[in-house]
Amino acid sequence: MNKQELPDWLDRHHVSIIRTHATSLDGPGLGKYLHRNKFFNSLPKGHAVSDMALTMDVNGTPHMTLWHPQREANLGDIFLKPDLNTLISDGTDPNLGHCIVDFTNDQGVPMDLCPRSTLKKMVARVAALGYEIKATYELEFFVYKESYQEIRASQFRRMTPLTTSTKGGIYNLRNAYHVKPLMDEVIKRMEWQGIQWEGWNDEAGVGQIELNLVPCDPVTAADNVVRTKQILFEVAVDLGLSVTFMAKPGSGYSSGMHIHHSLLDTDSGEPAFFDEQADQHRSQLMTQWVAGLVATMPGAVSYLCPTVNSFRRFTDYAAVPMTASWGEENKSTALRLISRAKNIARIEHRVGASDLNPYLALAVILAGGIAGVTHSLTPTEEFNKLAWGLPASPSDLPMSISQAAKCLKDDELLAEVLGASNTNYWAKTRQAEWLVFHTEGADATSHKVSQWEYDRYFEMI
Amino acid sequence: MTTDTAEVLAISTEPDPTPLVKIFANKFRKALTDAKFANYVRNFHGSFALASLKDPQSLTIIVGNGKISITHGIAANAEIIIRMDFDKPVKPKIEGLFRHPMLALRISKLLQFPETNWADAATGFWDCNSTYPGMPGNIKIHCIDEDRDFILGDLPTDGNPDMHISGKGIDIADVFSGGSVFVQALMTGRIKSIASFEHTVVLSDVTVQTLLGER
Repeated sequence: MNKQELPDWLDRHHVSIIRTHATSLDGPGLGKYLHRNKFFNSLPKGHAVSDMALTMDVNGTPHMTLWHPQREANLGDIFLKPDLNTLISDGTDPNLGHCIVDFTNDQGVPMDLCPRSTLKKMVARVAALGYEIKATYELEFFVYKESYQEIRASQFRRMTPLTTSTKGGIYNLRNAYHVKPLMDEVIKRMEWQGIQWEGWNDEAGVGQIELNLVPCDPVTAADNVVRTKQILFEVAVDLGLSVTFMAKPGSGYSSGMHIHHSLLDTDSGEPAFFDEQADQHRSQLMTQWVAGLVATMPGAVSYLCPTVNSFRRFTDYAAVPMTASWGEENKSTALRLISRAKNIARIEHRVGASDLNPYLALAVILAGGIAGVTHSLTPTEEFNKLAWGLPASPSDLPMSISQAAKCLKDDELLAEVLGASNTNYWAKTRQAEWLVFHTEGADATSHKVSQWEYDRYFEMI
Repeated sequence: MTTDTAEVLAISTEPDPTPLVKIFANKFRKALTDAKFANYVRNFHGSFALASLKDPQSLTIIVGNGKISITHGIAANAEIIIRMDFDKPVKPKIEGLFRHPMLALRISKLLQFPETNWADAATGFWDCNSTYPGMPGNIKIHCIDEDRDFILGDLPTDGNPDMHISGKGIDIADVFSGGSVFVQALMTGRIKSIASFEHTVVLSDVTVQTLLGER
């Protein structure tokens, strides 16, 4: 859609208000509700927001110790440029439309730090290699009977999982039935917004649900995640419940966000990870791609596990990978390869926590793959045993936000593909997150989820 | 454990130390360049913990045989526990004082790290960090209690510095010697500044790294 076509679209869909939607570095949705005239008149540049919108932490505190060459000299404005191809009507609110936006400068140039633009750049890099990408995410989250206000008022002590069983289980239909009214409404709104889904089920944690989306191009896939998370939040608010994407909101299972991706040859449209003649049907592209993912994994963890709370997932035998490893149909390794058949050939990246920024997480995964191909890397040996409870080894993933940030700072491949100014800035934001965790009241000696983590992440992430 | 030596005294911390551990390791590392302090440490034997009065931050310091070990948390074998405010000079609460009165006295002396003259601190900071990307080309510092100016770098011909900082000598020394973060000193009013946003942010970044002993 272009600017000239917009008034007709707004008229036909009875949309008089447009909500713009970007994500900050940490992932929370940002934007404004705009009168249609303001939205129209601001095109193509989009509306202004403070430089701080892109350079603040998850709680909205500006980065006052982190500089990036694209920051505005004196806290000036940057812009949220609408991607009119993402314009949709809300479906529930008859007057409301939604539009995904990118952070740009005054000249309309995408900001280096913009998460969505970063993903677009990686998609373009892969396109230049001759491939298209299909990707999707598995969303895991916990649902509670209490509203956000009630949970906040109880200082996160009263959080009743919305299930039958108090022991967990998985695929349990009775547990799922408790959540069905919420999910029915969520699915309805997703479909109104054109978000295709595959299925949802009761997950292993008490009150935990998994929702799977249909694979599509990476930017749309990530757009679908941020929109679905917003829908989940809104339906929870409307029903007096609460949903959290906090990776580890309690003592039991944690939430991940596994990311599946595959490459297609741009010319032929054929799956590029699959080679009928090759050993295990893995193409050379897939082999090099996996090598890049493994080589960059310690640094990538910083993006895939962005919060202090993300690292509470890392426990042996808790369905969370502990090593930079890969294996065919191996769900204990970081990368699960599925290469037995052409039409399902793909990689499931299992490191991501549910609190990741979907744009940046997929961007860092693609960056790793790109590095593997451009440097013709050779993968580590396939791991075909159980990758939990292993003796300490160099392949162990970083187990804290500070260690992961250091790995990222030291990662020359990711710096080369994503840009050193970006990876350095991100690493410093994680160091800042580590600093505030320790200096704002969390207890480093405790293995329990801290009040600080609930306050900071439960509603916002 | 990671270990480094300063003036032949070894300082060791955990592999993934907390900010408080890094800050105190850095304090000791700098202080040990003072011969008198280093000599005091060489003759010191004892273990003690420092814990925040207002949050759960804590660490344990064990000194003896020319080694300083700093770990997070309050170790069970800490002979003295000092609960204090790490940001303000509030009277500390001391546990173990009656069992180990002499050790408590010696600890209080140990924690009196050598003070640095504000101009020396600024000069040392500038020598280490003036080429850091985004740093101002020059800084004019005005110490209000001495009513004295001090220039870091070369002032341009028009005499207008890239950055102008003013404050009491003790606060200027604190910022430039890794005692606190520049932007926090600004926000609490201890330091005043005329500078661009970029220079303010970059100087703050460098003071964070200095505080943590990373520069």
